[in-house]
Amino acid sequence: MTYAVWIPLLPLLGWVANGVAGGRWGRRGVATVACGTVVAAFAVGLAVLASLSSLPAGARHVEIDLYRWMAAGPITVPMRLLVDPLSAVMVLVVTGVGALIHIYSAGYMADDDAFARYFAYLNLFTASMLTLVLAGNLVVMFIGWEGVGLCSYLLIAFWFTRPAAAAAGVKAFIVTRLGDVGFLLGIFLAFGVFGTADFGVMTRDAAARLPLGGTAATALCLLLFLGACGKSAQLPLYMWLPDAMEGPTPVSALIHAATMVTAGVFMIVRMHAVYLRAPLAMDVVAVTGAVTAIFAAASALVEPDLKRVLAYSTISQLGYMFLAVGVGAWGAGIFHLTSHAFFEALLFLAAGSVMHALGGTTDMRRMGGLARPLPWTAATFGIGALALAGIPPFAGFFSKDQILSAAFHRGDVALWAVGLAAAGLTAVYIVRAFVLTFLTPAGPGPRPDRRGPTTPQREPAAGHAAPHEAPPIMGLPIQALAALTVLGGALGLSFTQPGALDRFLAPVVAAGGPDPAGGGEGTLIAVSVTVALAGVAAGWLIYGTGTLRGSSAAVRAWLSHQFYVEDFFNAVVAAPARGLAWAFDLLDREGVDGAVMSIGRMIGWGGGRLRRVQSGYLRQYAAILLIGVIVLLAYWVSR
Amino acid sequence: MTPGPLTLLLAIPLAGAAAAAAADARGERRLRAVGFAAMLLTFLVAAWVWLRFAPGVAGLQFEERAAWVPAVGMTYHLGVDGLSVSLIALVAFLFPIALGASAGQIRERVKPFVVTLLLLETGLLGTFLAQDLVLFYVFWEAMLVPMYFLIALWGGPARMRAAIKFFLYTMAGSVLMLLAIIAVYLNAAHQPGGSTFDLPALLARPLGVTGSAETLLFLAFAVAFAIKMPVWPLHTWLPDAYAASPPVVTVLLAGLMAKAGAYGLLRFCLPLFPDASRTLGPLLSGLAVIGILYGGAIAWTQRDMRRLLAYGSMSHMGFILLGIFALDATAVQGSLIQMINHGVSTGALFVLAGLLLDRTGRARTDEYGGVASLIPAFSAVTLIVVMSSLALPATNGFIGEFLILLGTFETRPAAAVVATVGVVVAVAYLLAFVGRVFHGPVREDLRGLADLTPRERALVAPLVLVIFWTGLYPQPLLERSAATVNALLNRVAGTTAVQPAAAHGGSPRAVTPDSPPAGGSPAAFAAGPGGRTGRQGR
Amino acid sequence: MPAPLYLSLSAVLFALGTVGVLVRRSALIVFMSVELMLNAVNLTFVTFARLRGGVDGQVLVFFVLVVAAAEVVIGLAIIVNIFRARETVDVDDVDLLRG
Repeated sequence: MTYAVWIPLLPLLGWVANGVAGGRWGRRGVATVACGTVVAAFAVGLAVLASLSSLPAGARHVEIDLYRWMAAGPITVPMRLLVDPLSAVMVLVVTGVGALIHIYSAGYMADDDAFARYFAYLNLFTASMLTLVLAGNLVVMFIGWEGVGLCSYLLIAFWFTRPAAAAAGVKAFIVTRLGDVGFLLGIFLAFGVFGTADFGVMTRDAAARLPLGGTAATALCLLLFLGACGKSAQLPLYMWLPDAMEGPTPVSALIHAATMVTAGVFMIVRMHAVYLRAPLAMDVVAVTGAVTAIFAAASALVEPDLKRVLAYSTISQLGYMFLAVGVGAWGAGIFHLTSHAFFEALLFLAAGSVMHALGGTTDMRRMGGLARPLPWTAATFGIGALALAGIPPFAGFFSKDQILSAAFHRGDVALWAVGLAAAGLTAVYIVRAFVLTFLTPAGPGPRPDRRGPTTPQREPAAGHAAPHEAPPIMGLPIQALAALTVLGGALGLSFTQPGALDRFLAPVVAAGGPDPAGGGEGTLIAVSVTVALAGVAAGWLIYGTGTLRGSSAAVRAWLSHQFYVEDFFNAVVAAPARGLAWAFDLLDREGVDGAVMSIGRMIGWGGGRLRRVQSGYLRQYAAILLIGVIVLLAYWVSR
Repeated sequence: MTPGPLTLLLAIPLAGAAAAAAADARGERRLRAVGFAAMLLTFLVAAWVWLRFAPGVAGLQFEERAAWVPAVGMTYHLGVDGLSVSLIALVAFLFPIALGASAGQIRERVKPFVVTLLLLETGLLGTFLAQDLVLFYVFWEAMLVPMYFLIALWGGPARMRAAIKFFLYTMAGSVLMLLAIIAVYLNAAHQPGGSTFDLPALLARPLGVTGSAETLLFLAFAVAFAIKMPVWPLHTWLPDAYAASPPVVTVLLAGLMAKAGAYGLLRFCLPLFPDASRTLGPLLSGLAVIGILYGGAIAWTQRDMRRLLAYGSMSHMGFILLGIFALDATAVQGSLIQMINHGVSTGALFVLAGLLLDRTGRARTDEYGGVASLIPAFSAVTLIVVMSSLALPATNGFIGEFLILLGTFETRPAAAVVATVGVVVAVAYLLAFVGRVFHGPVREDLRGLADLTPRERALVAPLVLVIFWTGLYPQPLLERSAATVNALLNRVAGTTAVQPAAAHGGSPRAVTPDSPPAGGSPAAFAAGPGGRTGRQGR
Repeated sequence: MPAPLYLSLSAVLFALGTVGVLVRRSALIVFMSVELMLNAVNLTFVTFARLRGGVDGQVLVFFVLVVAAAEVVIGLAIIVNIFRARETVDVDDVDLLRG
């Protein structure tokens, strides 16, 4: 199955081609190369899936050693790819959703000056993401892990002449790198424990090498989870993701919704054998996920910017995924990852369509009544919204429900309740977004927004006159994602036994998951559907009809500042770091260099004293000479 | 003795210097061509040596040896082993690029510039080739003098102050080293077997230095090397010198001369004073960690482009020091490869900064803005180099820092944990640099900035290629250093085979493919005289 | 004449020379005083050579004479140059090397 190498290699070639020669073959050529390579990678992915399915379940673990990457001292790191059901699913999600977003981008970015650069970055991102999911050990995964981080930075700061975009890119890079310190240390610890960072070996030896609940296992898992927190925007390292919305909207759909931000979840599932040895770390993962889910959902309630609402919804849904893997429901985590990739990408692309129609506006206070001019967009956004809210029969309902029931069955009723409450809030805020964007009459809204009037508006500036539907090249990918959102639930469609996806993933994550289904499943479903519907109703009553009112200023302030997490972070980490740097600078100039220079000055001062001896009077020298001779003579004579 | 390739390596730049000195001072193009030809020829020889170098051999190869001052045991002894072979190639690789990049910066006194550059190359190559303590010292000083003139004659406004500071700083260290060399010689003279300045021969006999004497001698050597690297807190000549030199000279200062210090630690301090290396290892690791964070934090605050890169370079040199004194095979190999990486990446950064300065004359980062949309190819190359500098996987920087931190994590976990935070600091200052210069609103007064010319593309292309090649396939570099590093660490570990090494805080961890770690102290270092004759013919 | 007398004469001459170097400001006089000291030493050399019956002392005298001759040449050249540059041969006026 060596040809799986082509999965990351094809987009990489697209990057090289478009990056080096993209200026030469025009927009059509660039788009063809970029989309073609990703579609081709998807095709290879399908072939891999087919040949993987033809193997017996126990043998679905194919390691591809390309060459020996690093060997120094006792350690050896091969450039190894690992093809198994988990990576196959991820490859299909990345290339499938990725291909749709590539195609959409060809329309969305059609008027941008840096068309070739955009697609080069997008291809590089896809290649990195595919390296990440296909990696056979943690170090190769780290290539992809950092590669997607780099592309995220480059694409957030794509319109780098806008200071907000450039700053958002840097913020994303630094905050995720903060998490990567944990990831790196986790790799080192893995080498310390296992002598390797190979996934196959670690999965096999975890039970033997790591005592259950031991310090090593817990430290390893928590360090890796720190990396996941950064990459997947979990508390406390979430704050880069809302700012990341400065990037082009297809980028937000691909990187900051469908693929890169889910890397943390994927990594934990990849390392599940190790996580099973550290129940404490699993609890930390689950609690972080649940708290993030409700935290981000609450923050989304008052956000005036459409894209940032979607960013918070992503953070919140990622929280669900971490809740899933934290309670050991690996399959449910991947299932939610998949369905989330569908409906969140759908929501983003539909939002991009709205922006396309409005000339780049993302402020919902300046939108409204768009359902009439944009019926397709409104309908597809609606589908995505319902899926996000967890309304059956859309994909989001099945995956979210699996997570909640897994949490309930594991006995974590508190986590289940938090998740349920977050689900209710999710329904409220997404209904709010839908209503404000598509239904309420258009209002002028407060004009000065984050972008400010001085910065050049670089979002595609088509259709200033009257909002109109996007061209088919943008419409078709949206509709395809809508179809996937409607049908995606089928991957896990089963109430009493593992769904199709679970069964496919079973060889990878068989060990140690909780019972897939216990009693009372029907009741749980009923409860969660009721909560979701109640959320929808509440959202409608508050924002649609205005029947329900009332909020306190304090609550509003807390929500709109995201509970002051970021301010706290700035005050406790960022500001002291900056102050320390300035202190070091001062210390260096005045302290360290001052000490060295003062040695020099002391010597200079001594020389200044000493040079008075050189009076310039010949006769004085002669007299001193004479005195010296006399003293010497006296010494010799008296001896 | 017939002169071999290593003598050729010294002779070609020297002959080039002579030829340039004899040439007509007005024919600038011809002068540059002569210099470039000599450097290219040197590179070809160095590349040949690198390719023909046999991996898996711990001892010296391509040895050349002739009597120099037999009465006191000084020899003209050249050789390469795993520590030096790639550094030689790096020196020969960077010099032509530096000369090529100097076209826009050095417009006056071209002739002395070319001559001085070639003399500097001779000095640097000699430093890495010499296997005799006195010969090493001679070359060590020989590279100092041309560097002084390069800063003092062609530097910026603060050049005299910077040059003198640099010279005095380095001389202070050198004097200590000279005293230590003499002390080592005299000490060994009292031992059975007599004394010599020949390093491999010296290592094969008892040195007669122990206890506090060993510590003192170790420190005397280490201070000289630490100043050159530079190690915190002996670094304060660096920002002045880096910012005052012409950028191409900074390329050599940061890219190559700093490596001479790190190389000296590995070549002399570790094998000559193994006990002191172990006892003082934690101290030096601590200084390395301080340097990493301290340099990075200060770089973050700098507004002058070259001071920013200078402190960044210092921060990265901290990783190399950390790796060396982790006394772990993985980490030391990482340090060696990081020396190459740092030479390439920091060298490339200063080459690019120089090209930008040539175009605009602006030293401060806040005098730029939106440059990426004006000169896209230049910015793309800069971005690649920046990514390699902040150790993005699949670029060279990652290989080095990863191996260093991985190895250090085994022997000094606390230092490794703190140093890993330095990875974030690097992102902070490098992205601040990119953000201020390349991103942000376009400054109107920069319109019309010229992108890379074909000649400049040819200059930076090799650097970019090496960045990716090392990042994706570092094995050729790693396998060349493996055997020597193992032998070296065995020597460091071996002398106290009697008492458990763990008592010294960090136990050196070396892999022994063929010999047990505690197998007879000095003999474990395979560079003894016995093992030499057989390889003479290579 | 007994040796002590020669030595006494030599000592007196040397003392005269020394005092001359120390107290006179004219470079020429200082120079002559130096010559006087040298010749006082020559006298001592000859005296001891005679006393010991060897020729070493007399050989040394020739050395001194040769060196003194060379010194006179260079010294006078310097003095002439100083005079040309400064119109004076006063040693106290020549203090370029004052620290």
